[in-house]
Amino acid sequence: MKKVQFKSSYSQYLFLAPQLGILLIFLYWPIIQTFRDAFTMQDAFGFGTQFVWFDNFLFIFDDPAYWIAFKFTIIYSFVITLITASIGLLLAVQANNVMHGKSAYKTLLIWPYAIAPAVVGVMANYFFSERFGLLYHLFNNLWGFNWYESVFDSYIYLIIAGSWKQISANFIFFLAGLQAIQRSVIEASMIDCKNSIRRFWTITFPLLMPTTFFLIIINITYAFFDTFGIIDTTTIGAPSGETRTLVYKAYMDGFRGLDLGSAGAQSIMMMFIVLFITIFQFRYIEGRIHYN
Amino acid sequence: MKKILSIFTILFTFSFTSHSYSKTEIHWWYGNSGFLGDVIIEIANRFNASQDQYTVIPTGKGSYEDNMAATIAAFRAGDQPHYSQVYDAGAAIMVAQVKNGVVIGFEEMAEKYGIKVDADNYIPGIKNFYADSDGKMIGVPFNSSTCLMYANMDILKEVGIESVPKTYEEFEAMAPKIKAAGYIPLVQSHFPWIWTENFFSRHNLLMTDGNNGYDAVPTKTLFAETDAFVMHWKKVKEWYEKGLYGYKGRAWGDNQAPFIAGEAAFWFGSAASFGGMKGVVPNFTVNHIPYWDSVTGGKEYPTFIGGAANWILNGHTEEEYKGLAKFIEFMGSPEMDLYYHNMTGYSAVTKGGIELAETINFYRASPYHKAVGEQLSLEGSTIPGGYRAGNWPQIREVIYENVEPMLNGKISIEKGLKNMDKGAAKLLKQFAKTL
Amino acid sequence: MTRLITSGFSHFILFIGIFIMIVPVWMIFASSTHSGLTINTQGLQMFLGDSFYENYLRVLLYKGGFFKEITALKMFLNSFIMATGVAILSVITSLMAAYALVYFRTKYATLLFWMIFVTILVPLELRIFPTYSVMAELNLVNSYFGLIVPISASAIATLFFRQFYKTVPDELLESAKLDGANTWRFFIDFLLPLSKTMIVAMLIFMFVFGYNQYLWPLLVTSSEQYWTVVMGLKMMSGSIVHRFAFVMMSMVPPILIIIVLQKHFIKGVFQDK
Repeated sequence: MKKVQFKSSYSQYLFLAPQLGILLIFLYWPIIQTFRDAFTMQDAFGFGTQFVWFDNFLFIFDDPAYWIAFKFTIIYSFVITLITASIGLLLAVQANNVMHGKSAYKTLLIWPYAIAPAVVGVMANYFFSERFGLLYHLFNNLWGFNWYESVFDSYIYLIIAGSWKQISANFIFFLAGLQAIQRSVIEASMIDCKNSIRRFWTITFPLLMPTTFFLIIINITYAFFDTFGIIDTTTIGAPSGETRTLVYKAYMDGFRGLDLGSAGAQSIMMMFIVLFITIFQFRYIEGRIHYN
Repeated sequence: MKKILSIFTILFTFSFTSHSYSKTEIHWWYGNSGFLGDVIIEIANRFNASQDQYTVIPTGKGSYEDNMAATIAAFRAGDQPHYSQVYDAGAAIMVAQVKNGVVIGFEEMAEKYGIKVDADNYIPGIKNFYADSDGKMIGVPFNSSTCLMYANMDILKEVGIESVPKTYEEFEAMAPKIKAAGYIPLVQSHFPWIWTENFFSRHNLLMTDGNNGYDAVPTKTLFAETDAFVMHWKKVKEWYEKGLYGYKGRAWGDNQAPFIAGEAAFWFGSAASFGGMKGVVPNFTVNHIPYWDSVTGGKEYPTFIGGAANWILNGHTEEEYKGLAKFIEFMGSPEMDLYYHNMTGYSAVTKGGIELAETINFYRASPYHKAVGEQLSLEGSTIPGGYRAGNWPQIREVIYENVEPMLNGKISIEKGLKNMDKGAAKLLKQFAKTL
Repeated sequence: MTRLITSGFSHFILFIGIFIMIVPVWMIFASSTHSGLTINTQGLQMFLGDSFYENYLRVLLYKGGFFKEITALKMFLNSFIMATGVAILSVITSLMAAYALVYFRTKYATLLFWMIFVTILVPLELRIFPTYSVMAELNLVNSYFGLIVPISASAIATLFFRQFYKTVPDELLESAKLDGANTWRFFIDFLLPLSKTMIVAMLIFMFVFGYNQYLWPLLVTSSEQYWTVVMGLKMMSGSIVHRFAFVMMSMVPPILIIIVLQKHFIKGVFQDK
């Protein structure tokens, strides 16, 4: 925190008021309703409401589909993080290496970031369509790819669709991280260590740690939340609900299935999961990295 | 910055200018898109042109599921339309809402605001599907279809088959020939609807306890304990493995595509599907869906109504309901009924519409339209003409979740059907708690 | 020599990367200039066809919906209004909130920070039904306000501004205090000019965020005059090539903004590093 500050006064609250006001009305209010839903059971139109304690939670824990979504969410966020971070890092390192055309490369690699996940999903749909999808036919010839029957194949489909635009975000952040490393550090290391690959892993990469961990969190939240639009426009969960993320399942049960109790309980579980990840990141990871 | 802000303000104020009507507005939400949505708009336009007191404003909300969710969300928020299209799987939920004052039943509406179309003017099978347990019609029948079999006659001719199969036994006998000629014998577009719900009705079998929910709130589905259904599933799997049946995922269109492309001989779809295929598939016919001769002993039973009805929602002014009554009357007239039947392929829903069709010899000119009415009005069924089971949209999900593992052999047929029963029972019990 | 080889290798890798990014979009674009028949019989196309004007004009000017007033053009306008509204509203409120968090001494600092921070843990998809009922209770469905404000209830920009303010040297406030600046003067005369690049970056970020909303507009607008481009994906009709054309057009505005303003964007986001 700052050493020099203003004393707390009414104006502090004036500055806070607009945002807090919006958050209270459009965020806290709905969240409170979500909690209420999670502990009650009601029909679709909100009648017959009764307090049921933890029944909704027991219902979802007892539901194999919930654990399938749980498993998929974990695998999906792990793989997406791994793929997008490593490709993003690879491209960033190469772009940082070249003498000419650095900014052209930057321009040519940054734009997919701006495309809406739902739009990415619709595009992916075209490439994995059995009728005219290039990738569908390529993979189908290679190993009989068929995403609506094989769980593995549907994972492949969603991983490709989900990673594509996220590589851009990773690229931008890694490149900025690389450029922030001072020249003198690099030059000094060049004398100590002649092998450029070893130099990268022993000197550069540790200096990129803050960026890496920041991106891990960004990628995980992306896989948790933003992939909603992709799933909704591609597999819709097929085969047999194996490719639903927790958010997508909560949405399907609540909005499509009209079961607000179960959806509320799932939302609250989701909040705890994300909270856990965040605290973990603050406590254990941020504390151990040294920012340059 | 200032410039951007001022442009923004201009756009903002400009866009607030909205429609204003001196006429009474009646909002009608629907869950059809594309061509079917255009026909709905056309119906509203015709009504609006026919009188000058009321304006019906139709609004598309995406799919059936989207529209139902949007309608419910709107109702909970006190912002509901007057009239909303809700599909077959949501019928039980809507009927149950009469007592809560969400839905106004058709007959109550007719009594209060004098709709000239009588409930008995609607075809019994369709009327009963949207009626409460006392037989009072609640939802207003609208787009009513059922599952039918489309056949590519060119393929059949090429492999030397003369007539389309009436039974699954006949299909089984001819399918290998079709496959040998390089075609997919069969595709179908909706597992829960065609090969679950309508499997039961087509074979005169009960699908849930409580007499399909008509006598008592159902607590379980009868999938695994119905031998005929187990047998059917084993056959489906066998066909799938032999390449006699092709599964193309969950999406309706993906399963229809091979038929449109002339790669599949038979496709099970909706009565309303032929519009998109006329002129695209050169030589096709629309037929009854097959049945197992071994199950029914040669008898043919009707299928359930599919599609959707329109539901009157509570919470508006008397004047608006008067207008809605006029609109319901308008849509129930023989001319409009036949217009819709003709445009879309959905069944005519009123007796007047059917009579009119017969007087003008409509079916001679357009044989496509015939099968749906025929199949729906088959007689001899001893089971109810529908099912009253809550949470059915989610139960359809449960069915789908088990279809793929059963097809690819990850779980056995018995296990898969038991899973379906288990998942459905849980959802049915949950629904019963909220009644 | 080795220098040349390694840089050749770098160019090669980068070319593959660019290839992966551009080819899918190019193929959809190329395909969108063909006729529907070509796509259905020959699949996606690599080269341009001759139906560009025909397809794009149809999509841009086709009048959909009941009022026959909603065209893709109108959807673009709506999306633009929504995205701009989200960007401006969230950036202004976040700037102020972050200022209050960093520059004021209070025993509630941690509480206030967490109150704002936890909100990024609860995305709209998880609370879409209750948020809708709140909107309806406040009579805000079917309005630009209803499209914009709930999406602006985001603390992401606040976190960025907070990070940024923390890197501003303490001397700035000390000298401002010597000049006799009060809290408002310091904010407007000293801090805002310093935050310019950061503000632009966040405006872009939130613009793209607002433009790309998919689920919310579908629920909160029952009147077609508020349809946006991305939700239009759910509503689009017409043949496959018209869909291609619609998809292509839908991604143009955010991509253009990112490319044209990328310098500011990157500079802003990384200022704290």
